[in-house]
Amino acid sequence: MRFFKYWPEFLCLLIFTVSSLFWGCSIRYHEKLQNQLDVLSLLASSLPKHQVQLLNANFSDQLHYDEFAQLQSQIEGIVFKLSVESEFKDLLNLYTETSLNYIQLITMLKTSKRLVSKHDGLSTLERLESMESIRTQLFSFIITPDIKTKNSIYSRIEEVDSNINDMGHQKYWQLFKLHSVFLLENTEITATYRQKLIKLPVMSRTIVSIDNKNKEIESTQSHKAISAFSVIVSLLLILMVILKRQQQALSKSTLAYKHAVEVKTQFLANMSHEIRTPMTGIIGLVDLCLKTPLNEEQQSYLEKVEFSATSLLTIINDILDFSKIESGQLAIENVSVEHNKLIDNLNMMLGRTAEEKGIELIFDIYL
Amino acid sequence: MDKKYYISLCCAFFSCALFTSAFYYFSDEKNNDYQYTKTTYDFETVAGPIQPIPKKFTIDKSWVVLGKALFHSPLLSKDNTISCASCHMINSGGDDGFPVSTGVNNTQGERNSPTVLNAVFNFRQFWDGRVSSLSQQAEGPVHNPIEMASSWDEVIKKLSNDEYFNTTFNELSADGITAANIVKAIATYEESLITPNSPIDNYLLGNKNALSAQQVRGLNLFIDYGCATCHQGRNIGGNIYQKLGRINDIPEVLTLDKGRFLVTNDIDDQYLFKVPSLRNIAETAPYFHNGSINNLPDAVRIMASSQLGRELSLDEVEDIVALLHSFSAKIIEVQ
Repeated sequence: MRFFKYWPEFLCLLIFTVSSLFWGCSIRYHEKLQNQLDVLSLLASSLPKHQVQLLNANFSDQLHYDEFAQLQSQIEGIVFKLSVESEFKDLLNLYTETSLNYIQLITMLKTSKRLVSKHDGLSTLERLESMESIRTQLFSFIITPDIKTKNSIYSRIEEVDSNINDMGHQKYWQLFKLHSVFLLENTEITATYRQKLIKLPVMSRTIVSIDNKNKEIESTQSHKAISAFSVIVSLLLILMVILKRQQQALSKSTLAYKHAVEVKTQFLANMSHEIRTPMTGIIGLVDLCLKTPLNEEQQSYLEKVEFSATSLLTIINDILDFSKIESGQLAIENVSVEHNKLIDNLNMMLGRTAEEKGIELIFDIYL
Repeated sequence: MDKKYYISLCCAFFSCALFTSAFYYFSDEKNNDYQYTKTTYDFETVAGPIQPIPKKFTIDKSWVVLGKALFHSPLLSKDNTISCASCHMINSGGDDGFPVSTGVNNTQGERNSPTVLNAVFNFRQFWDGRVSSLSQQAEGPVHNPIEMASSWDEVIKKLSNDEYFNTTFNELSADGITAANIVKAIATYEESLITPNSPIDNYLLGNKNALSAQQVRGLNLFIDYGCATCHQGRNIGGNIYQKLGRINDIPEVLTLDKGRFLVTNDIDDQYLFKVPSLRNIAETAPYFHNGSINNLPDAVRIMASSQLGRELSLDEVEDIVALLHSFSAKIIEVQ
């Protein structure tokens, strides 16, 4: 139960611990989000480059795909460690798979086109006019693929295929035929892949993802600020609790002190009161004594005793007044003063002492 | 307000602060590696489809040394019989010279072990390109029941009992022996296994005497006939997928394995394989994904006919084979 007394401290420490844990967590979470954002930004910068590589792939001066392979590998690495919605991940996977399908066809198409269009060193073949016209048709098909041209090329190829018997031509014709068929079969598929790659919203989806991450980071930042604030607040609370406890201890000791003072005053008052009783007795008896026949000397002594006793009583009354002042109960009286009597009294009190010391005592009164 | 109150309050406060800072410290997910230098290559580009292998690169040597030890350590296999180097012999082309490799308990693999040399420049790893990085690749054989048939728990336990591995891992990383660190060390070692300075690279970089006249003829054919469509770039391959028998029929022995179809189940991916690198091809017989073709001339003929629809003459085959020999070089020692 002794500990129960300290519940504010425990509460403050609890708030401190919880909020600082939360603070630490939000810092870590912020770091994590920042890393994810970096990865996403890397993705956002690699994707356009990758797309350029893809779309450049069918240019004749693009002879190797090192850059493409590197970017592909990089993007796949990013996708592998990216922690985003599975739908976005699927989209990216679809994109990378489609680009691989596209690149394998487009590179072959490029080679096939080159092999089909190659004339040099084939002078003997120029006689194959039908082949020349197939070639022309083929290129128009490549530019604008349509099913009619496709079918017509197929029938022309079959026609030539059944008529050709010259072994010298046979070898080149076979190559030409294989690549023409490849072009016919795959040009449209490749175009579809290309369209798909262009249309896939990878880039916009990445930007959306980056935006979302940024928003998340913002909210984490506010969490961070709130938890840091509560850490500070809990520290201040602890300080306040300590101050409050000190204040309590102080007021407690003040109370004890006040009590001690009161007791002392009470003692003084009681004591004066007790002294007054015998004092009144003395004064009464002196009074009685004065009424008996006395010689002059005795009379004078007794009067002096009576005066001293009365003075002492006044002092005791003053002490009582003092305790009345402390307790705030003093009433001020309105009493008339007789100067002559007052001075006589003073004379009586001080005169003898002055006479003994040989000091002249003068009362000078102007009325 | 006694002393005891302040002392106990301070103690309580500091223990709370200690608890939270410990929590903060240990929740750090960052890499605990001591100064790991990421491998970077100094690429050179030349005109033409074939690109030279970089001669200069920076790499973390201490991880390379550790990776080399792991690569040659049989502790990675279930019964401590084989290591990575059993099937990827670094000094003989980076593979084992068998059609398919032998795993633990003498089980036979299904595909020819590809060379580990220059593998870092491949766009994906494995014949079917099922993973995109060396570190992902390194996980494969360790768990494959017909290769090393082990598990990370088992491997980590065995490595922890080894004094060298225990101290080295702890020197290099605060995490000590973990699956991620094992894979990282092996991948870093593999990143160092590159073979620049081959005759073809020297030729491309300006030394016109690096290739013989026959090899130059071979190079012209290689580019002209379209081999360089797929076999291009730094690795003379390894940049794209391509379908075996794209243009023409393939020998039946090569049709048994459906390639990437087994991974994706997509009918378009039948017989699709990663275009293999032709670097060090002369040292890595037998050829193709199942190692069914024993010599280069046959391999060249099959490729020319199935991929390009072209019947090569004997001279042409010889020229191209001569060229293929110029793709070989030794790995360079990490300085």
